[in-house]
Amino acid sequence: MKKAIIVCLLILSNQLCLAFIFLPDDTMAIRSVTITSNRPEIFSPARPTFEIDSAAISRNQYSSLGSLLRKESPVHIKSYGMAGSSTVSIRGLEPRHTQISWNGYNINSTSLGVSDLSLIPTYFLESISIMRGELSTACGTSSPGGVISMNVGTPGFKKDLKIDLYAFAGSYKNSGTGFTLIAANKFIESKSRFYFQSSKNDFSFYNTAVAGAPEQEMTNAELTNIGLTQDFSFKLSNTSYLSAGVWYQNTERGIPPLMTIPSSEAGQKDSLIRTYVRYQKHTGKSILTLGGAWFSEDQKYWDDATGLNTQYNVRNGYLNADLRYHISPAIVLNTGIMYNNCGASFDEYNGHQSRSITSLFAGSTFSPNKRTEFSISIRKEFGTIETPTILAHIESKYTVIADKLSVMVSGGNVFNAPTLNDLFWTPGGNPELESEKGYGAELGLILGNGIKLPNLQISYYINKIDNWIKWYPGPNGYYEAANIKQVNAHGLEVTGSYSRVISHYQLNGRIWYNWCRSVTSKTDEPYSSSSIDKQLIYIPEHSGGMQLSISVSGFTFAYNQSYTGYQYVKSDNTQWLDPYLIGSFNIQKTFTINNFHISVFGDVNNLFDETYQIIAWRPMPGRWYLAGIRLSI
Amino acid sequence: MRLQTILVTILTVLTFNACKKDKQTDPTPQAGSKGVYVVNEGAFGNSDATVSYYDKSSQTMISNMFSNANSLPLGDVAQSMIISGSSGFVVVNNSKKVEVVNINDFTSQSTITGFSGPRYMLIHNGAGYVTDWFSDDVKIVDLNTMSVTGSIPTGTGPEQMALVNDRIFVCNIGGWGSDSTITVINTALQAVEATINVGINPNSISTDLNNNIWILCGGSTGPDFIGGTADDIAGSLYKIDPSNYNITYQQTLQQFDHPLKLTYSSISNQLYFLMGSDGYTGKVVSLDPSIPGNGSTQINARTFYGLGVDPYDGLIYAGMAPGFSQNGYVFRFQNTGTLIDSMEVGIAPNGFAFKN
Repeated sequence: MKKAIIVCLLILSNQLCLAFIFLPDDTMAIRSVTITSNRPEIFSPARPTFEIDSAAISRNQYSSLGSLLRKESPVHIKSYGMAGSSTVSIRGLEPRHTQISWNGYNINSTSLGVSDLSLIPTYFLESISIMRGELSTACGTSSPGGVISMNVGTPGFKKDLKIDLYAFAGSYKNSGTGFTLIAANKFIESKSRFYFQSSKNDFSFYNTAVAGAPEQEMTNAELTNIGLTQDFSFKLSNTSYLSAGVWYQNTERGIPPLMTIPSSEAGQKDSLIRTYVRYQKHTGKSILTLGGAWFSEDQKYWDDATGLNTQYNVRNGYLNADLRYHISPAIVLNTGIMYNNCGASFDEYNGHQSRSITSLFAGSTFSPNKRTEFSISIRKEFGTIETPTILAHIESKYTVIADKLSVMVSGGNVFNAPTLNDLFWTPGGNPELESEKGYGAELGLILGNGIKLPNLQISYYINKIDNWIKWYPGPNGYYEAANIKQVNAHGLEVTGSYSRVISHYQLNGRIWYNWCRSVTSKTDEPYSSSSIDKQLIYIPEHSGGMQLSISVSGFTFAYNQSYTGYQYVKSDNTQWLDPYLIGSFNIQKTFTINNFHISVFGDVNNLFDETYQIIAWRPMPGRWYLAGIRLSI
Repeated sequence: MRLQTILVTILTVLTFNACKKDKQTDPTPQAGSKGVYVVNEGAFGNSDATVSYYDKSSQTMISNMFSNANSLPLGDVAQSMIISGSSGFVVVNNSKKVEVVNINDFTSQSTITGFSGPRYMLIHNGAGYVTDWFSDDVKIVDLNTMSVTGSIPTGTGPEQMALVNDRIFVCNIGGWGSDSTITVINTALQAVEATINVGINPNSISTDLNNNIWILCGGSTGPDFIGGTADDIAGSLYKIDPSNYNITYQQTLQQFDHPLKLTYSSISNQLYFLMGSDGYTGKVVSLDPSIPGNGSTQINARTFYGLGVDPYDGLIYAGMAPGFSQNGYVFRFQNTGTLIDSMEVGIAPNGFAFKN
C-alpha cells in the first residue's frame, strides 16, 4: 500500500511539473547557473578521480553498481554470488572504510557501516566517480579508503523532453525494464525513472564440495528489485536553484546455500526511501550550498530452516551548509558544516540506538604559481560518540611539464568510530570497542592527459590504522567484533587511459593494475602470531583489468577483462582462492530515425566460461548472456 | 594499437599465472596406527572445517584428513566425531550431515543426510542416534542403510549424550534460547522415558566408573550474550543416579562461571572440564568425583576451546582457538597437568576422537 501511494504521488507530482514545464515561454533568456563539483574533489583537487563514463554506465544499465564496478573499475568488489550482497574494498581496507555517497550524502548503513552495492541499480545513475585515498576532512570519518560518488547530473534548465524505455532479458530468467522521462524548460527540470528487475539466478555449476562434482542448479537465489527515482530542480533566479529528489526501492531475494550445504531457506527483504533537497546560490566569487537529506531503510532477514528472524529499521538525517569563496583567482576557501542524526531499531539491539554528529570543516586551495597547487583542510566533529580530536589533510601538486607530467603528494589522519552493529548487536557486538585511528598518505605521478597523450597515473600509498575493527566468525555460530591492534596497508596503483578518434573510429581504452599488501602488523591476541604480517583475508595482493571500446557507424563494441589474484580465506594465509580472469563483451547498435533512437544490445558475461569463486564455496555463473532494446526520443 | 593491447593482455596473464601457489602436501598416517583425531570446527559459513590426526607412533600431526583422502571439503562446522569399529562418524553441523569414513585412511564410506542441525552422535545396538538442534529431536540412523529412519523428541537444542543401562541421557542445551532438562530415551522402545530437571543449559555429560551420570550446565550469559555481566546465571554440576534418575549431588558455581566440555578419565578417576566466563572457552580443571564438594583444581593457566582425555593413556588434549580465521593448536598434558607439547591443527579444535 505504502509503495502504491508513493508511486502515485510521484507520478502526480511529475505530471504537475510537466504541465508547468510546457507552458509557453514568455520570459527572456537567462544565464544558466554554475554548479560546483563534489566535496571530495573540492577538498582534494590534486588527487585523480576515476570516472565511470556514460558509455560504461549505459552498457551496464541492467546490472548493479557492484557488478559495474567489478567490470569497469580498479576497486575490489567482494560478492556473495550473482544475487548476493557485494561490498567494495579500496587500498586494502574494509568496505566500511569507503564511503558510498549519493548526491553528497553518505548512504553507508548506519548499522553495518557499509553499502550493499548489489542493491544499487545502475539504471538511474547519471555519474559515478571514484576517489581513492583518505578523504576524511571532506567526507567525514567513514572514508579512509576513498569515496564512490553517485550524483544526479546538474540541472541544465534547457527546454528538453526525453523519453527512454528499455527492456532486457537473459540467462537464468533474468529480465527487467526501465523507463525514464526527463522534461525541462528554463525554470524547471524533472527527471523520473522507474526500474524493475527479476532474476531466478538458477545457473548450473559443478559442485566440487560433493563427491563426483555433480552438476547442480543454484537454488534459492531469486531476486526482484523494483524502484523509482524522481528529481526536480527549480531555477529561482539567475544565480540560484533548488533541487530535490527521492529514491524509493524494494528488493527481495533468497540467500543461496553454500556449496557445502544442501539447501537454504533464508531470505532478505530491503526497503528504502532516500530523499534530498539542495539549494545553491552563486555570486561572482562565492557558491553557497544548503542542503539536507533523510533516509529510511528497513530490512527483514529470515531463515525458515533455523527459525532465525530479524528485522531492523534505520533512520538517517542530514543538514549541511557549504560555502566556497574565491578570495582571489589563486586562493579558494571552502568551509562547511554538516549535522547528522541517525538511529536504528533492531530486535538485536535490545531497543533503539542513535547517535548525532556535527562536523565543521574548512579548507583552502591556493596556487602560488601556474605549476604549483597546495590544498590544506581540517575537520572537527562533535557528537554523542567518540570523535577525533581533529582531522587534517594536506596535499600538493606540481606540474613539471604541462599536460605531460605532474607530481602529487598528500597525507592526512583518519578516524573511524565503531558502527551501531559493532557496539550493540546481540550477540557479537562489543561495547568496549575502540575507534580506529591512523593515517593515510600517497605519492603520485600523473603522465599525459589521455587525449593527445595516453594518461598514466601511478600512486604509491600507505595506510596505517590502529584498533582495526574486525568481525570474526565466533564459536557459537555468530560473528563477534574485536579490535586488532594494527593494520598496515600499502601498495601501488597504476591506471592508464587513452581516447582517440581515427577516421570514423572512436577508440577508448583503460587499463589498471593494483598491488596491495594489507597485513595485520600488530595484535594483542595471544597465539595469533601466525597472522602477523599476513595478507588480510579476501583482499587480493594483485588485481588488474582493462576496458576497450570502439565505436563506428552506430556500432559500439566493448570488451572488459578483470584479473583478481590469490585471495586468502584464512588469516594465517594457509588457504586461498585461486586467481581468476573474467572477460565480458558488449555490442550495441543504435539506429536513428529523425529524433527517434533505437538501440539493441547484447552482452556476453564471463566470456571464457571461467570457473571461479569470489567468496569461498559461493559459486559464480559460467558464461551467460543478455540482450535488450532501448527506445529513446 | 590492437597489437599492443594483445601484448599487454598476454603479458598480464602470463605474469599473474606465473606466480602459481602450490597446495601444501600433508603426510599420510601409518596404516593401523594408534592416534587421536582432532575435530577442527572451522568458522561458521566458511566451510573450512577439517579433521587432523595425531599419529602416536610417528608423533606427527597430520592436517586435512578428509580433504586429502577424498579431494573434497569436509563441510561447514564440524561439531564432533565418534569411532565405531572401523568407521568414524564426523558430525558436520551446518552442512546438515554425518560423514562416515574409514578410520584408517579417512576415505569416505557414506554420507548420512536428513538433519537440520546435527550436533553429536552415539551408537548402540546397531543404531545411530544423532542430536538435531533445529528440529529438537534425536534422529535414529539405520547403520546398514546409513539413513535416518525416525526421530525421538527432546527438549530444546539437544546436545551431548551418554549411554547407561540401555538409556540415552540427552542434554538439552537450549539452542539459541534456554532449557534445563535431560531427556531420557529408552533405546529398546526408542521413546522418551523420562525428563530430568537440572541447571540452566546442560551442555555436556559423562559417566564415571560407578556409572553415575555427571552433567555440566553452562548457565547463561544473559540476553546480552556477554559473560561476566550482571545478567549472568551461574553454571552448575549435577550427579544423577541412572537407576532411578534421582539427583544425588548438585553444585551451583560462582555467578560468572560458565563451564563446558565435561569428560571423565577412568585412568585418573577424575572429571575434567573447561572453566570460563564467556560460555565457550575456559581453563582446564579437574575434579574428583568422589569428593566433588572440594571443588575443582585448575591444571593449566591457558584458555582452551576444546577438551578430551585419551581413554587409553589418560593424556589430556586441549584445543586452542586463537581466532576463527586462522589455525588453532592442540596442547597435550599429563593428567597431572604437566605440559607435554603443542601442535598446530585446523581452525577451532573443539573435540577429539581416540583411535586404538
